[in-house]
Amino acid sequence: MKCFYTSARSCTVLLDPQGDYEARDVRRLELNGNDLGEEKRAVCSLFDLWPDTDYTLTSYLGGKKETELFFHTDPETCTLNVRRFGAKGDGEQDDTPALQAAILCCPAGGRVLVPAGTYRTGPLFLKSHMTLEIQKNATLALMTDRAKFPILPGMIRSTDEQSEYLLGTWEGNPLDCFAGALTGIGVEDVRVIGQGVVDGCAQLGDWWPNHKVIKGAFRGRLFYLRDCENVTVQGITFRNSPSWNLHPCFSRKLNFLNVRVEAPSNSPNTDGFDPESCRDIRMLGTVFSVGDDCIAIKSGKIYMGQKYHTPCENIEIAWCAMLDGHGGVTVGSEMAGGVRHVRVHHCLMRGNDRGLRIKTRRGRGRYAVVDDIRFEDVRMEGVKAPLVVNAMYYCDPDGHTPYVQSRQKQPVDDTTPTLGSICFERVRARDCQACVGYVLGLPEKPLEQLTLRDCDFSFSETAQPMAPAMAEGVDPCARRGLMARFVNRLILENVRMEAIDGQPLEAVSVEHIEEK
Amino acid sequence: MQMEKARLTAYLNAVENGEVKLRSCIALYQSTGEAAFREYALAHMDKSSGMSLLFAWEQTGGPAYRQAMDALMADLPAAADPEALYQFAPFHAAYDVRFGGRKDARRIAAAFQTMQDALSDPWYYLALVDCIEQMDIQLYEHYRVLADLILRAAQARLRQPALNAADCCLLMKGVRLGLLDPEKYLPPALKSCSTLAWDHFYPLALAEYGRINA
Repeated sequence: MKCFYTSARSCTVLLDPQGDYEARDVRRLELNGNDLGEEKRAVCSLFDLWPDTDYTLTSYLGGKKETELFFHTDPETCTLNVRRFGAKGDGEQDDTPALQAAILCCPAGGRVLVPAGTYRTGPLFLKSHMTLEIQKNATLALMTDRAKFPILPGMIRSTDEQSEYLLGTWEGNPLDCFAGALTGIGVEDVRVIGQGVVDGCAQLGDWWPNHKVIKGAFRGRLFYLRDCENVTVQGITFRNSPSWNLHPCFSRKLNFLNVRVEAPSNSPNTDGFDPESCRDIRMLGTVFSVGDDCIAIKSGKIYMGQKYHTPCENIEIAWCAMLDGHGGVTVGSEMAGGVRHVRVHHCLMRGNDRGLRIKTRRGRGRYAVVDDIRFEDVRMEGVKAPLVVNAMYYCDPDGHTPYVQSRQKQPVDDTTPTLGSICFERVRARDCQACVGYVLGLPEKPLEQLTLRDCDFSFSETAQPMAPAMAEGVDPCARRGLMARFVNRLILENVRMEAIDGQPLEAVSVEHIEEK
Repeated sequence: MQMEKARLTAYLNAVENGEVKLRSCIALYQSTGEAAFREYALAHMDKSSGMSLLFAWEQTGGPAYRQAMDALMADLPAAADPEALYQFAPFHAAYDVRFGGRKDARRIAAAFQTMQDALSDPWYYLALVDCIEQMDIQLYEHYRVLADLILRAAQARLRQPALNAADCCLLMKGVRLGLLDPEKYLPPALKSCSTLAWDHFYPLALAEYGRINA
């Protein structure tokens, strides 16, 4: 056992490093001698702890004591119960003023407590050095009337007109957007914890129908951070967001632990977790079931990439379950600032269209470097195409032009993106449908290195054809092997493919191939 | 307000440039709702070089206007000087957003960038504010090129000893589009406008109505 994180009232522990979202075995846990019941997950969080207290967590496997973990909770200055600020939690009253007042009144090291109840609220803004605890059976139910939502302006010029202050954002550009349920602007040392729910209630409002029509401003996120540091989200369920669920932007040192993210499969742009130009992130023990990509790692479109060239980097995604979203883990397509050092390990992906999906295109620019993306010990079930890398993604108005789609070498210049090293190790995928992998680099700048090591792929007998990548000339396919084009170095070690039609490797313009 | 048609025609006939005349007329219609402006614009489409064709098409749905736009777009004159930019860039941007699949934003922004030495030419900076109004802000890197040029043009205008009508237009429209700080740019524009009004527009109004409503 390993303790990942403690606060004054909670902790997160790793029970089985070799499991994926679920542990290989069911354990029984005891805390200071009190039975906590059975635990099936590899990573779990405990709540309702007391501050500044010693704890002993004991795990039992098959009736036998397995191991013990000692930890000490953080101190806490005081708890502000939102009920004392006038919140009713009756699902009727507008509790926004009470909730926001409690947050703004919270002293350093304090906790704002949201006890059981349904709190009708507009967007709330977090402040530094505090904990917001949404307890079990408590729900923050977001209002749906746009008039109740403040707008975050996309770009505000500095008073001397020499620089700018950015707040709102939409798909990688600094554009006006509505605030989400919980927003942090420039805050640090913040925790949002508990077994409660943050419900965007978008199914009750006008966010999803005709979503491409902009009404007042772009849609808000459920949880939005901008220029924040040391923020932990633990245990919370996020559901029915107007658009993306969790969107940290230009922030550092973030933990997302045992979170749940849920949205209907047909809800528009309800990505689970989209870190943008952030660094040092841990996403552990989280379950996604959403209408778009489960995780999409981003770093802005061209303006943001060229002006700030801030990559999204040092990201660990582990012991998570990606269920039903379009992509398990996606990089891009807004990645003009670069994405690097991403390690996805011990995760379960089930029913996604694609496992790892990297999307870029000519025009993203010289800071658009994707490098060191690793999948290790990932289990995929019914993922149609486990690996898709596409450097000719036909997004944006010029996506279908020869500039983006040409398979002929173009000049390498300031607009050319880079694909570095991508690695799959110990990936086991069964019931695939389209192909093992579809990799399309750029002829003028091929993908530098693609490694598949100790991987197993097998296909569903009822595999349906699907076009694995959104680039021109990519036809639907079923039960194909690894198709690779414009790659410098391809390393295949101990890769097994079962029930495929055709060759395991279809390589075109691949400079070096090493097969073992 | 009811305006005598003949009088209106007389005013507008005094404006030499056909495109300026039509676009002014359309702007007046859009801000006052006065039908005479709309009618005048629709009756003088032969003077149009783009934006007013779009106005006529949106107002009437007439296929001839759409054909005229397509024909103009197919043979769009190069933006060789600031006046040509004023004539054609807003139309180019508007057409591109509505019918062209938003493919030309890069080209439009590049045309302004190439000609940025003309920043203090009224044709150039009026073209900027008229054009950015038609662009899709989601193509932000291109939109932002124009937004930054508008800021530079406005800063340069404020350094002048006095503001003319075109300067006021730049500043006020820049403020209206959320591109310029109202606290900084609106007061000088309003002050100059009132001077311009006394010098030019109030005498016209006096001639029209015999009195001025304060």
